[in-house]
Amino acid sequence: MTFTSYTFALFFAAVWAFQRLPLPWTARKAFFLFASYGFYAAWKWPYLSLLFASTAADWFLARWLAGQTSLPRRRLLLSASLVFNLGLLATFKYSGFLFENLSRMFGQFGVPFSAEPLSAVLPVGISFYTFQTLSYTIDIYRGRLAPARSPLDYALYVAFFPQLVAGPIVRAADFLPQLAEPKKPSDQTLGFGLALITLGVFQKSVLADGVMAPVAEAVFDGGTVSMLTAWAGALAFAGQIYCDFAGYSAIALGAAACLGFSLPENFRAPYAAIGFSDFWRRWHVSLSSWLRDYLYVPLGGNHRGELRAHANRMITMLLGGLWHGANWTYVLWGGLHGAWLILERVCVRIAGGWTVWRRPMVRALLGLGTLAVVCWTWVFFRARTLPRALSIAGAMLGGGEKTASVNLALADGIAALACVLGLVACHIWLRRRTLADVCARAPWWARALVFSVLVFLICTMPGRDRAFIYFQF
Amino acid sequence: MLAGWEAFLRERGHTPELVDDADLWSEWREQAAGDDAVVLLGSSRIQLGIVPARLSERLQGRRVIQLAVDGAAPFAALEDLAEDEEFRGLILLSLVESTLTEKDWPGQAEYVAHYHNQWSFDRRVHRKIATERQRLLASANPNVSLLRSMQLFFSEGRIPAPLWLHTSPDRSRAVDPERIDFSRLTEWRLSRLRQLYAAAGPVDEAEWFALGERMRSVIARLHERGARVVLLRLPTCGEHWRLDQERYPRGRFWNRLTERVGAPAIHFLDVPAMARLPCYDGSHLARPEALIFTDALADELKRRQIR
Repeated sequence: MTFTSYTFALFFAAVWAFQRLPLPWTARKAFFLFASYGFYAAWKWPYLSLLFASTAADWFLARWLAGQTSLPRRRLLLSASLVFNLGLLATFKYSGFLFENLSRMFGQFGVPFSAEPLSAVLPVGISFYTFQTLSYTIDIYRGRLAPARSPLDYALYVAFFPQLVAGPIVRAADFLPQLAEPKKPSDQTLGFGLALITLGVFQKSVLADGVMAPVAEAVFDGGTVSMLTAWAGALAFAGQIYCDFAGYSAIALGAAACLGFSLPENFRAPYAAIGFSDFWRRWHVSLSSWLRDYLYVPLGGNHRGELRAHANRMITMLLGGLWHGANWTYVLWGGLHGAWLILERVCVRIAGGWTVWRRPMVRALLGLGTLAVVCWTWVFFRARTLPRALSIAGAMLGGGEKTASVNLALADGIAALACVLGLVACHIWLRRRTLADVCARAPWWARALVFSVLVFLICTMPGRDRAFIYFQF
Repeated sequence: MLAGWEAFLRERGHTPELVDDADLWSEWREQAAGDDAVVLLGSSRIQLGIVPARLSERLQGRRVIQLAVDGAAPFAALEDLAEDEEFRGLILLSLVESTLTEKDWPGQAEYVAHYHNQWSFDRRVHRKIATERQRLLASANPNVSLLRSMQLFFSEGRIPAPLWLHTSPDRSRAVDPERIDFSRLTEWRLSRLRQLYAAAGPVDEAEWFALGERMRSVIARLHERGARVVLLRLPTCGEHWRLDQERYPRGRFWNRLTERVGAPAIHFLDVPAMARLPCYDGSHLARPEALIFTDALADELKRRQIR
């Protein structure tokens, strides 16, 4: 179910009304689980079986694992979980990509090879819920988490609808304790939750779909580009992907808050980052922290020498890129971010102690430089093919055509760029603040005014419905 | 504020308008099953030129399903129906010679993909509510969104004009003669067509007939399981027809293609009731002419005993 659909509005109102009924907590949790499965089935019910399989596999494996003292057996059970979850991902997400590349590789040697992908449709949310179930089993293997006592609690942790299809990727240690006691959201929490939902719908429907997407589509899916149009497209996409995904996350957090639950923050003003490690502490936080804890650290992190740390960074970012989609452009995008992180690390080692970096003007320039490189790198994420990505990225560096043939209306470009500037200004302002703090400190009339304006803009700026970008990952 | 915006739009002549999108297309696509369905495939010409309710009435209540998409060639939808074992009905395929190109072939693929990958209970409920909202509120139309209006106001000092094409819930379209200057529209279409034909260079006949062969194999698959396909050439008039014929002479393209494809073909020039219909912009029919065309088409299908 899409958060911005009328169907979700009806569904959520029904769930919220039900959870207010004076029923036992277990019955309410069972209802949340039932509603979550209904939420998922509203897209394509046959794929529920994958969700059931992933839930059941890790429930049993983790229980067996927790009861084992022998290290080889523990390792075996952990491997079984890894093989099962990553196998699901490989089958449903990467088989087409793998076969296509095998076919190309064999073709180089004149050997014919062809195979059909095992699934034509990517099951929505599979990358998110497999990472959640994996983290649960790994945490139990590491002894950091006790297995859930109730299968109901565990199933709800995996399938809780606000985070099911596009995150945030929740850790069991954060969510399971919330299921211990009945939830009754206060009026203040409910108000904040509704405000977050409204903000999320505004970001997605108005900014991402209405303002940014037409410009990004015109540039990335169109003809030749000049330096100016290439930058316009890249900036518009930077705005689109942030508003699309942060909008989704805001609705997820808001919906959970309305039901009395707390989900982890996914974005912390990323376009105000100074440096790339700072960017990754602010962008898709639940994924970057997952990759750090379950990939980078097990690879050795930065404890095995500088060169190994660089290699670990690169492997983590390449796989992080591949997680986003079965295409070389995503791998390249991840690889570029890996390269920026390594470069930053080298620079910090050489010149990190200089006092010049503390000067406000220098910090502002570093922030601007980070934003420019991040936007340039987004090109590889957005372009459908590598040649198109190279053509746009080249144009941004001055290698474009003198006149562009893309069908980009000036008014659309100006509106998108104005919104991107506004977005960056908001991020700079929110760099050391949280939205919750800002809301708590603002007078009631200011909150009411902002809320009314957002609702007015949502209602008066209907755009073409576009699926959430992260639904495809 | 919302009521004020709605009142402002109404005062400027805007009326509630249905938005034709991939969801509305999918809502109709899922009804294309069985052997009594009559599916209309094509682009704007057939969306304006055939009135589904009238055709249904004239074909003894058969279900007429409008799957044409404005500005997109219908071949992807044709291939999709050929893949669908549940469909065994009749397809009326509006074919425009200039759209039979490699570039245009996948024109409706996005709609087909949406139907197979996104169309679901969620989208169905959403579309039903969206339809009701769009039928009720002028402000529900993206063409007159606050953003579009502001952009136009600041660049040209005006807000968007009321739409001159109305979409019905059955996805047929009708032009509103009160809201558009036909002679200016005809001039604009002709100049665009001249530019298009000039930019395209000479017709690649080999590619054109190769795609005709691909169409033939798709149609053969449909015929094998009892479905039928009829090729239609909807009316084009005056200078527009002259330019079309200059580039795609009927004898060299349409006639040869229809002989090879192995499906019955109805050319508007061969049916007297269709041949004399005026086109409001050189290539589309207004509602009164569309009704006449629909009747003539139903008569022709009966005369040829096409079911």
